[in-house]
Amino acid sequence: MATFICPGLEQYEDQIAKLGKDAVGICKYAIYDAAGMVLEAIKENTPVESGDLRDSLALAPMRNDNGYINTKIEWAGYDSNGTPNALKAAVLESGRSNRSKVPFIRPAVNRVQKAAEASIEAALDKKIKQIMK
Amino acid sequence: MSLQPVKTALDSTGLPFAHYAWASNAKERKTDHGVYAEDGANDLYGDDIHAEHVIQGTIDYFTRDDSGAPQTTIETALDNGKIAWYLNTIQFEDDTGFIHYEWVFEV
Repeated sequence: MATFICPGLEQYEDQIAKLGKDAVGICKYAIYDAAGMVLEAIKENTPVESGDLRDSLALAPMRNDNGYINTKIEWAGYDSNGTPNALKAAVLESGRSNRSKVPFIRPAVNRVQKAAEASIEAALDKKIKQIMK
Repeated sequence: MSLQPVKTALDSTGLPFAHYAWASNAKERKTDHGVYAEDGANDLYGDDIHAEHVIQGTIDYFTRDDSGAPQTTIETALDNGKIAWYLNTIQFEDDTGFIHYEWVFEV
């Protein structure tokens, strides 16, 4: 009977175990950076009157919904007239029967989507290499 | 590529549509109407070349018909015109009574 010996497998097992243990943290790290890129793109596209809308844009805390790691870009609070910033953003983006739309969210997301995806890929590669070396 | 396929599809519905903006007078804004407009691109790149030019935009239809018939008519016309689309939002304007359908299209 032939014997096949693979030295160093224990170390490889440890690395894979560590990768599994840190997977959620690694994903959060990668998504956070990409979400920041999208947020900045939307900010740049936001129509500015008072600046309330642009300044209220923020990232929600990172969530893990049964393995679906995500965050939201949302508008917090109210403008100086007491209108919810989220409502103002929705009316601007989609318009109304008595108000023309000014799409600023979807075009911004389209513009940076590929770069954000590449950023996630690069961040994941970097973290995985750090653990596996 | 122009927006002609979108215009042709929407014209085939028999519903009132305008490009960019509906009538500015308040009276006409109170009747069922639709607006379509391009607002950006979602081009396709491959092998470092600009492979396909894609125009993206939205179609909005404001109606007080809550039967769903205008929605079906418009979506069927877009399908028949081989236009890529998705229904983005349906909102109800409680002050005007309009149901506002919004689709995103690409040609």
